[in-house]
Amino acid sequence: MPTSNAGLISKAAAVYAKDFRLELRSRYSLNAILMFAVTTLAVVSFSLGQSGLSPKLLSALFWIVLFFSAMSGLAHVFIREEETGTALILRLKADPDAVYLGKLLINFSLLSVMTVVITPIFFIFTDAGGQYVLPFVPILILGVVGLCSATTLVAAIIARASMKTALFAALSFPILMPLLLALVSASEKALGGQGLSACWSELQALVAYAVVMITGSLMLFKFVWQE
Amino acid sequence: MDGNYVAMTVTIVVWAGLFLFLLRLDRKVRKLEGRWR
Amino acid sequence: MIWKLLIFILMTAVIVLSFTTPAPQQAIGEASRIMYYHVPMAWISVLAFAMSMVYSIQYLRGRQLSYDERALDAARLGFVFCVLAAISGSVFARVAWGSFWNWDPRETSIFVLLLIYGAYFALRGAVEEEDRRAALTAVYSIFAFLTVPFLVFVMPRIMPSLHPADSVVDATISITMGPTVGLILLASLVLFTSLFLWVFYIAVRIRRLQRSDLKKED
Repeated sequence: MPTSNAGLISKAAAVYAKDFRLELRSRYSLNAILMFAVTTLAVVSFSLGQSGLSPKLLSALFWIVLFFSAMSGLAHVFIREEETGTALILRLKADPDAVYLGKLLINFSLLSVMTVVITPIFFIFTDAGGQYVLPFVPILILGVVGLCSATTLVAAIIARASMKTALFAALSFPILMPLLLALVSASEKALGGQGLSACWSELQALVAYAVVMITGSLMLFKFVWQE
Repeated sequence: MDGNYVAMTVTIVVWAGLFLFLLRLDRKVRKLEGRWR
Repeated sequence: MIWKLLIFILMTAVIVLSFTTPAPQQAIGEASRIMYYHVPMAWISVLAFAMSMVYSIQYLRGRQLSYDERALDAARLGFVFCVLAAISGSVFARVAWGSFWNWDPRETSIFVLLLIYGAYFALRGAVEEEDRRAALTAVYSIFAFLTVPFLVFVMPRIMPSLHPADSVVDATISITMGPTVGLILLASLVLFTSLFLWVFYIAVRIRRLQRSDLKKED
């Protein structure tokens, strides 16, 4: 662990590196998220078939899959610390801001990997139209950023409560509503062939959302983290 | 106009009931605080 | 005290006026009178949540449990008004626009607010220890409040033409705001707020009594 004189970035990097190595070894969270996403996608695709899935439906389905996959895996970063007992040491030695940033980045990595895997599968299963992938990507990125920016703090909160997993979804959903609404609206336009220019207000909202959530989380995290 | 009259009366009755309840609650609290005459 | 009497008289006057003056929105008809009650209730559910958030901030600063108690009391009251607002809005939607729920921006906002309240109470129930419960719920309350501006200002811009509902609501508030309607609505808002603050103050006094009771036992 770097000394307290080291910069915030390197401390956050250390937190990230530790979790990254852990994840690489067990792939516990990644497996959970991926399996959930693939399964849900398969069930949906199987039941609905390919006939005339409107952009609205496709968009909603995609983000439902992503949302629930996030719910299944993004709380592990903190729950694992509490359950294995390493949380105490982390609390004593690390700067709360660094812990938050490190955890945020791990969640971002997890979600990104999942998205990279799921999106092609999604386009294949639903035949959504490969020509729409390119305008879809920025929305995807902003969506992933938005998802982890809002849920990382909530994950920290529920890690210190009981009934963790159920609580995680209950607490996250209202906060994620504006994000999901903007994402679904923008994706609908992108998948419908209207291009990114039609989604301008949504994109602005998405960026604003991520900025507000991360800033708020940074300011509030230490109250959750410290006893 | 009739329907409105009924609705209005019901609303006033409900409001009066709520208000009296709050008044009683307020008095109980004031008794406990020792500020009731 | 005089102000309580004033509240009673004025509120009764508002109720009478709300039913005797011409309906605020002619296109919708008599049902639009609900507006005089629904709007204040929705306003208070947001106000109460904002109050709860402010008390949460004060708790995080000073760590005094009295702030946590007030945050909880404000949230409880706000929740009641939120449920009432959602129900009155839903009834109005059914009469005016045909269906109980449309997911128009404002309906969505009140729904999200309900969920936030619910989540807040769920979290409170999930943490045993007093101080940790106060801290965690305070953080959640503040964090959740950050999304409110998005719901109120950003969402209506993103979902404009999905439903006629919002344009009608805006029309109701801006165009048909003849002086009588505006005045009655304003009076209703002020009176509902006074009512809310009165009940909240009673709650504060009850808490104070409970605390002094505990101190006497020491």
